[in-house]
Amino acid sequence: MSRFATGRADPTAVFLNVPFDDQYEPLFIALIAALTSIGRKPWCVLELPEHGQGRLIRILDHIKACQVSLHDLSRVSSPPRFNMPFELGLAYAQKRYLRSARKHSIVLLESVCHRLTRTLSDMAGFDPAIHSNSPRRAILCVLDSLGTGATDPAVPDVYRMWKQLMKAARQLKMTAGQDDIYSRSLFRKLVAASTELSVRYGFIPR
Amino acid sequence: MRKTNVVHHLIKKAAKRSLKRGFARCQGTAFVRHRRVHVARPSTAREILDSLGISPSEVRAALKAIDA
Repeated sequence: MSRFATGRADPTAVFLNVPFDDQYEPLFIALIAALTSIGRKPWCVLELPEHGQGRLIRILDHIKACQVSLHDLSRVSSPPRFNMPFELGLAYAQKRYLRSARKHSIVLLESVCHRLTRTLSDMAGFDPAIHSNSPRRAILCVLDSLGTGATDPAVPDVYRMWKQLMKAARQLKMTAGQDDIYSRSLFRKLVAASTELSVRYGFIPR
Repeated sequence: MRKTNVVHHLIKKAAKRSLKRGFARCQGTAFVRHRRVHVARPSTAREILDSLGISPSEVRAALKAIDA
């Protein structure tokens, strides 16, 4: 059955609204590593095949099916990326106006302190987690905002796992003959690798 | 009252309110201690793979990449 068929949001699914560019790749892998290490399901728009309904519909469905969405608003340099703030707006509108999305949680990420108050002042009152473009900080941001308490893994352990996942990602790209990991098949294999590593590190049960 | 005391007082008050509304005690405690956005039971590896519909062949490819 499709994950969208029930109409209910998955409490452990996290929608990743992040820039898909080369510089972001280590952070993207860090987010996936941190999420699987705490037993969360990383979902993003890459994993759904395009059947002609358009990317926007897929994004809306995804946000609705996830209890949490994670929005990285750090790409404000020239040319600015409008996708992330736009999708944040979609998530906020669903949370505000859809009864089924009332419990939806929004997590904001930024790379620079206090910049969000200038770049997106409408989100005043929402404190973004600052990752400073560092994978270790990105892991800390995820564990800090989505961890479940005493059973959370330690940041250095997840960081060690991230290093191993980076090697696996390089291997996957080489095997597939691709320059980046932003494709459906590589994303799925990356999540599979991250899940397997989380089990090996003893973060989650098999 | 000092600023930190005020914040602590407000958090405690909100936690008590959530407990009164019938939330589980552990959720209330998590709210007081960490003020996390959401508390959910962690998924198992199988649940994560199933949610994305990841096939055994994709898992095998992932394992190969890890162990390469």
